[in-house]
Amino acid sequence: MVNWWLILAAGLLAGATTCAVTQGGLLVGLIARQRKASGAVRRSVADDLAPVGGFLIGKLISHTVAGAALGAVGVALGLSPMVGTVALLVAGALMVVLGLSALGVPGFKNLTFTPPDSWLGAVRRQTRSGSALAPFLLGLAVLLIPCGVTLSMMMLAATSGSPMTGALVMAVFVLGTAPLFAVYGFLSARLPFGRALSTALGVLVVAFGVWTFNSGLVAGGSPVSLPLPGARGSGPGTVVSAAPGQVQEVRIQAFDQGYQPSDVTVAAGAPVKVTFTTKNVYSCILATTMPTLNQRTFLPSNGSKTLDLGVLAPGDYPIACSMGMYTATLHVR
Amino acid sequence: MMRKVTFTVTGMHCAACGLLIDDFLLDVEGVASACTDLRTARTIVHADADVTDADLIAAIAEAGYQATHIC
Repeated sequence: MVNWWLILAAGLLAGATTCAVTQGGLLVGLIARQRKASGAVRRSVADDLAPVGGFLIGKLISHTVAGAALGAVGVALGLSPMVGTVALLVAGALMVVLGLSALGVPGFKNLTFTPPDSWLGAVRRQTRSGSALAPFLLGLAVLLIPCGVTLSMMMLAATSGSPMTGALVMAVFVLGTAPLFAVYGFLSARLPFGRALSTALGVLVVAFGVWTFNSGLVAGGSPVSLPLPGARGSGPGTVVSAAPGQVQEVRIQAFDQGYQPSDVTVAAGAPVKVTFTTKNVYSCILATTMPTLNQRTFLPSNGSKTLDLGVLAPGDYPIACSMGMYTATLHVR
Repeated sequence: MMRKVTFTVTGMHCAACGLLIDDFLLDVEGVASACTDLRTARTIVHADADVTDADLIAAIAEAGYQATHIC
């Protein structure tokens, strides 16, 4: 799926930039100190498996739980499609600001997220700990010191439309960072943070910001948006008709990656019901909105759900997932 | 005898950078404490008198950041 590959790629790049260099630096320092204190000698790569694996498991757990919690908060706050749309627009704008800050653009340079001292202290304690559990606990604690890319993913999780999708966003992101952490453990050395990596990070965060902002425009049914991958649905047009005065039943299959059909036309003057059916679906499409009608529905992973729209005025009514990634259009003619 | 030294640090982009700088500084023999503030881009170090500014600047450089002694 387009969205999960993008998130995985973000994790991979974050792994190559901020995460590996800063968090990896803290982890390698911790491992080296513990080894020195115990008098142990690093014989092979296998010796790094336990601490690096423990760190990654801790990080995966804390970030996945946070993703689920953020998704749940997003659902709780997203009482109307408009709130979800505004959240996407705000998240996108914040990501752009974070990215410009990472790039060192004047005026944005000092706009970074600074955690409270108590959070920093919690991480600091683990980096200087002698406990065998310290790498795992450090993995849990780095949730408290998110980099710009991680913050972007947290915002995506909060606007994902469900706790499960929020958890998946964060889990896929952390798994994306894993390969480079493993390499980092293998190298067992601290690498300086280069300007080129900082620039790559900034560009990535700005790109995610633009993508998220655009998703907000799509989810909100805006007539203006960028033709980014996955933003617009495609497929053969379908015309639904019924006897005069009878309900026009529209059936749309929701897949992980889009709606089928994504272009449906009904006649004006007769009531319309839209039934969405799903089969093993687990993407953000489960939170489907019709923004211009202020309708939002949560589809089951397997099953169907019907929206009774009544008689609609002639026009085009966009249908979109909560993250504005997949769309369809209901035309009333 | 302990002394207090303050540096400005450039190149930080998130809170983990500050923690990493402190981690490198605390590995320098004779450093008792190190506290880097992302907002002010400053690092305050308490260290033995025989720890030179150059030692501390080198440790910060090893972490990947540039430091300048201010007081």
